[in-house]
Amino acid sequence: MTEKLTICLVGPKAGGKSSLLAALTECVAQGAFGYSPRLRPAIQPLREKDFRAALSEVRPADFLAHEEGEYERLQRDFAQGGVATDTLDTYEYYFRLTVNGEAPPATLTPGPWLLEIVDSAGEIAVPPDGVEIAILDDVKTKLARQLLACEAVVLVLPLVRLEDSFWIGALTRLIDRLVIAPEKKLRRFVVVFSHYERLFVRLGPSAFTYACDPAVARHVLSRALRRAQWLERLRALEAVNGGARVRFTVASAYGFTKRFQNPNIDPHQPGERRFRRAGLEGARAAGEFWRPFLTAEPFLYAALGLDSAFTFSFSQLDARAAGNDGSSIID
Amino acid sequence: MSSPVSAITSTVVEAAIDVRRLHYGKLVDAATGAVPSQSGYEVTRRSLDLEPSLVGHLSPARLIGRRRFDPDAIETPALRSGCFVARTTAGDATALMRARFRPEDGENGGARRHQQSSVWVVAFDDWRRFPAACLAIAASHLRADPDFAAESAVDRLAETPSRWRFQRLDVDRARDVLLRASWGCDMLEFFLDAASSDTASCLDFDARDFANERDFLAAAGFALQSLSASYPRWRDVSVACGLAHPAPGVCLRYSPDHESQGSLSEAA
Repeated sequence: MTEKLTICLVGPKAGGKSSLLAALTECVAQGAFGYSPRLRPAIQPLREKDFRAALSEVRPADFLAHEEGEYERLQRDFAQGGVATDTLDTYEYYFRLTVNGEAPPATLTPGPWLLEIVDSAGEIAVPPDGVEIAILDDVKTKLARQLLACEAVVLVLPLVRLEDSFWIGALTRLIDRLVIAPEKKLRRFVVVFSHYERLFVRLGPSAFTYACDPAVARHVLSRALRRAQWLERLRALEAVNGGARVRFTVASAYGFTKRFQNPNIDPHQPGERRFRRAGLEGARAAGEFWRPFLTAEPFLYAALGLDSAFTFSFSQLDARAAGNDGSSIID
Repeated sequence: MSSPVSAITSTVVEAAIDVRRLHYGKLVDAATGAVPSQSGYEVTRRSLDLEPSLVGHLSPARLIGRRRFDPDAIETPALRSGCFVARTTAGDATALMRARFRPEDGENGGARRHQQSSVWVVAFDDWRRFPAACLAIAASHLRADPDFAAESAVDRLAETPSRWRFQRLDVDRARDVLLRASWGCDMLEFFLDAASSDTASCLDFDARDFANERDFLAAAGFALQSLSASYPRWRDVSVACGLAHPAPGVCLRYSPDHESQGSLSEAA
């Protein structure tokens, strides 16, 4: 049976929300996630009208038609260095998710799932503290409605020293409001730390091997969250009337290069660009070395509620923190 | 083809228009042009008397008539300077906008890009009376440049409207120029056809018709100046440059890409 779900993507500006979304389908296609390969998920972008109507209603005239959609544009912008999402609207992307392999029958309905993923500028939901940003009221109202009506929230945070960041106050306020909102439909809340590849830049070709170890990810998350005061408010979200399930994970939209295994940031290019072969253009140039890392994880968990080797609950992180207080794998 | 710009100066009577401004984008560091880490999207400059109810109608997406303003909306040769659109919007206001995407680490940087738009708002009546002047002034002075973070918010967000004085165009001379130029006849015929219709339509020009955007805007100004005030579709008139699709309404569009076709097309 087809199930429709709305997932809101929020987080501070420049945290990597749109990049995470742009890398979603490629991550699923490459199987670059922490789920069992036997799960065999597949995801394809849809047009809004196909999302609104049942897929069985697709007209024969449209059967073989292809027009470039919003998601393809997002992917192309991402390949060209990215475009900061503006604050003038919120932007919806639509997908059809299927699970073609083995899945725990107790956990998963047969699907497919039609996903509406709402992307928005970080300045709307998590504005920088102390900076007055004029945002049109109707955009704020629209995002607030979407947050209250959605089944899942994916919160994207850049993997930095959280206590130094200038958006902590706004983030805490957002979580507080979600906790106390009686009308919310929230079932899952995923916190994803982006830019994960940057932790491994000194490890060269060993980077991917270390990144693929869930124990490393769990340790990184424990350390990142150690002094995060907003974390306690998030616990309340899980506690209230059995509310939403909260998970933590890591991801990298740039990922690690195929074959060479190093973090996929080319130090010889201005800005932040992925490695690409000189003189090669088009899709092949963009994809030759690109292997995103775990960017599907937050969306698959948000849609399916199914844990992978890289999604961690409070209890898993709490156990880790108690058992390894002060120890460090990565400097 | 002779440039119509020279004819604009052959006038004697002085007139003026008041221009209110709205800039949307990110503040930048004056020295490097880079966006400081704390800067986000915001209205970075605004005239004091710009009605809040009007601001919502001045977003780049609304002015170009699309749900979203993205880099695809701008033709490749215009990516650096941005696209230009002039059209009448809500509240008896006509907007003239230049919008583009620029790298967050400065003009020649390689970082992700952010939207930067500058909108001028003039009274619809001024636009109808002095379209040639509006377009000529915008061609020379309307740039999608970011504002500086160092400038105080009070100064940026409570600006007094600027007054532009100009020599009023000699309409008879403008009409002479129009009737002698092939593009002039095309434009007049286009507006004539559009008058009896209520659909959107677009007349396209490109680099084979005009050497640059400024010449096109001067020509468009001539054509609009020759329309009478009672022209039934004045509120639908739009002028666009470097925009990958027609602007809404009755649109004169210039494409700096010489590969594009100069033709009359029914807008979507």
